Amino acid sequence: MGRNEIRLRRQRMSSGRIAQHRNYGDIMARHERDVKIKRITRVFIYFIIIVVVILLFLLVRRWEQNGEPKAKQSTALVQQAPETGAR
Amino acid sequence: MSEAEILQEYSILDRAKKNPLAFGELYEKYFDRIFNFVYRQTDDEDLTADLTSQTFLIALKNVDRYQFRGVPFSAWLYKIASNEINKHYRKQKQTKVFSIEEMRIRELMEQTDEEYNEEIIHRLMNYLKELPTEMLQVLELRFFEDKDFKEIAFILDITESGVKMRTYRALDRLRKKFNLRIKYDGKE
Repeated sequence: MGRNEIRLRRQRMSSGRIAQHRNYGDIMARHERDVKIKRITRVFIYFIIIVVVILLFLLVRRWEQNGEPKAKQSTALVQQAPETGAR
Repeated sequence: MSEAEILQEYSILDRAKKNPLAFGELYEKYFDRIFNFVYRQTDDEDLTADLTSQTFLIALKNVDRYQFRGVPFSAWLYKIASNEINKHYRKQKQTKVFSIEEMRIRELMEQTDEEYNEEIIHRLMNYLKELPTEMLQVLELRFFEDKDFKEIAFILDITESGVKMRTYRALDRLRKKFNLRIKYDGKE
């Protein structure tokens, strides 16, 4: 069995027939659509990055705010302990 | 291709980087050639139209990245087209088709002492069937598209010596099978 299928064409395709498939307007439209999609994707990715950064910033701030009173409380406990022990 | 033509294509490409409409000149210039090249490897008009459009779309998308590598711009288009054809066959898992024009075979036969007839055609088809795809691709670009070794090497992404080796091996087999005296590049 052959590796490829070989066919014989009795006639060449005419340039008029090939011209029926020629459509640069379609190529341009597809290209513009691709460029638009690329641009939207890029904007979306930037938006996601910015949102993630803001969320991280808010999380860190919140974590810092929640962490501060606890640290103060534990310091207070450490200071009170020796007084109770002396009595 | 003359140096002036290459320079002219470069100016078009430069313009196309800023304005995609300028690429239309190259589209008009090379559409028929790329269409015929793809058609020979698919034998399907609609599929050829799709793959040819895809070829030009990819070229237009990547025109910013195009770099001169010592071969004409058309070689880049052939390379993209060849990749698209291979991608199609990989996806469809079909046997590759080579549809050759009788007229071109007649022209090639006229260069030999062999008389053109149906029997010769039949034998030639059987000979081509036995050839591996890599050899057929080289033969197609050399004898149906009139590309030089350097361009073929660029299009198929192989070395120039590799192209020469494949061509001479294919022609040697042809000589033995047909008992022909083919003159090629001055050698007999």
